[in-house]
Amino acid sequence: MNTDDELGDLRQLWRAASPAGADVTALRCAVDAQTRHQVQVTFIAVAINVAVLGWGLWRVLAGRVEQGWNSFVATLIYSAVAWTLVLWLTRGLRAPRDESTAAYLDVAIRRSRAHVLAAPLGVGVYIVGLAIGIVMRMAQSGQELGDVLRLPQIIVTGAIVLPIYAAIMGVTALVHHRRLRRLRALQRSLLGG
Amino acid sequence: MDRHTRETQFHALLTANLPALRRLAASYAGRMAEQEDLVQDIALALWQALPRFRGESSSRTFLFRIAHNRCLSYLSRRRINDSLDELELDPADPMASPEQTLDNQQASQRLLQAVHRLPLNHRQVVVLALEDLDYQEIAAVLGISENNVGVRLNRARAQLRIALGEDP
Repeated sequence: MNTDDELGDLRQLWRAASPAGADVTALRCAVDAQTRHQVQVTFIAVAINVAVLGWGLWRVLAGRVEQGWNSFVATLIYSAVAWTLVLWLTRGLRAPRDESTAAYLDVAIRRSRAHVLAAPLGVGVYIVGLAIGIVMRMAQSGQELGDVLRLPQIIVTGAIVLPIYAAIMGVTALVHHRRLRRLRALQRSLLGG
Repeated sequence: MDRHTRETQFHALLTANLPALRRLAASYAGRMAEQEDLVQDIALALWQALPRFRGESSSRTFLFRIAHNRCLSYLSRRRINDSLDELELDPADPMASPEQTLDNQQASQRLLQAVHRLPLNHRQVVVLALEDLDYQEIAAVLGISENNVGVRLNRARAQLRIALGEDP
């Protein structure tokens, strides 16, 4: 069925509205810039991880840390667990299964849910990592807990970085929690879901 | 899909439909900058989705599906009525003759604003109908039945006529 007869002159009026904006070439450049940005963000995340592991390995090989292999293996396991969590949270979220509204809303809802879940998990993983670091430090140096907690690197990672990280994750979770509510409302109103 | 084919399809689809995409963006976003961002989002989503395009639907249906989904994403990032508040809505003048109403750019703007004020499920259908998609194509874009398209379009049309100060 055609919609011509039902909308009549409104169609002409609609076509006359031509909001200005970027042309196709400019849009293509913007797409390139955004794609590059996405690749850079992924690269930076992987590069930081590799750099941390590489630095740890170098310290062990250079004999700069007592029982260095224990620390390195612990860091490796910790990193593997963290990346497994990231991959588990983002599984199947790269793209909708097709271009339908239902598939799109479904993947958008699961993405927001993953962001909400990532906050407590991320902070939890960080705290576990910090605790492992403190315990290993105590075991390696024979220092008491109180002495280890006064070390500059523990103060920075525990008393400064942790609250900032937790606050950022909290705000992100809140934003996505709100987004989740809106997406579910859209799903109900458009698909009756 | 090789890069050259992707590039060619991207350019062809956008060149043919860019004014329609701008109008679509304007029916969702109130501010010019947001409309621009939305069109850019649509372009990026199209670029990323093109390798998945297998030709099961027409390329125009494919493009509008992507565009509508990006518009939903835009809505989910903001409070539902935000963009409405930003529009300077100009109420229709019931004393104006149809000739006066139809004859200038203001009338187009008023139509755009009237479309913007429609409930989302009516807005989606009417925008696609105004862009000349038939019932089958609209149903394919939105994932609803053709009957549903007809029902929504009838209601949307009546609401539009009232908003524009015409007899429904």
